[in-house]
Amino acid sequence: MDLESQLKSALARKQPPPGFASRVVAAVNRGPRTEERGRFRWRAIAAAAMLTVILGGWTAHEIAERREGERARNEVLLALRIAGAKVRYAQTQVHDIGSKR
Amino acid sequence: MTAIVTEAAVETALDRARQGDADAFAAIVSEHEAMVFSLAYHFFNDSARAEEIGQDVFLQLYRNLGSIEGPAHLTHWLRQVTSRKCIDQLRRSKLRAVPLEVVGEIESPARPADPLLDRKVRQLIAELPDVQRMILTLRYQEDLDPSEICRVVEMPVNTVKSHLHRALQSLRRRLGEQ
Repeated sequence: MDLESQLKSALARKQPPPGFASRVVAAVNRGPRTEERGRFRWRAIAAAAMLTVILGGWTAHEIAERREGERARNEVLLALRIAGAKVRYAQTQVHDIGSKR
Repeated sequence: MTAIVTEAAVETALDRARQGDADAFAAIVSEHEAMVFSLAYHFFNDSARAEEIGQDVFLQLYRNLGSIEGPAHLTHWLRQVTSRKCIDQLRRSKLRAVPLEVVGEIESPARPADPLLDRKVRQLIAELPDVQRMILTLRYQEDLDPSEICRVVEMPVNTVKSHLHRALQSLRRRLGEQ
């Protein structure tokens, strides 16, 4: 027998184990295979974790900015209070000197 | 489950399967299961793995029934997806095809004239590089010529001819050595 015939014989089609088609149809009815469902679940978990990190980061940034704004506002108010006290003191001094004359 | 015998019957079964008829889909599976299973079996020499690949291929077919244009396209699609899945899975898992010695062999419908030689040839085919093995299987299991194989494996026809030539040369040399 020549090589071509030997190859045709060796590579002839074979029947799958009995019940193959039924198992395929059952798998189709079941939906995606467990591992595919598992892959989808892991992707969903990863997406949720990423969203949490992004939202958390954004919230932390907002809080830090608000605190920084409040601190700056308090510093400005304190500076104004000090400046006001000094102006008042200077006015008193000027007033006293004027009344002594 | 009804057997499909003509192209027109496949066309009808495709139409019905697209509309969700499970029996029609089962008939399509029955019609093509030997082709899909055998491509994977000759590639892996592993019945369980071939069945797993076959199931994946038909599940993918079910999800893509809408894109199948007709019986000829269906056969081409199944050959293409099966060969791609086989090569991808082997490369991903870095598994080698299982040697014939450790595999329970599946009987062919027609008994080979010389079972010992048949086994030897299959052993030598199993030792060929992955792509050569798939191309050889498409050539001799499916009786495709290089211009048809190149469309299945999406390679230039000269590359397919070169793989085929090298595979046959290797088999001739090794069979001559025995």
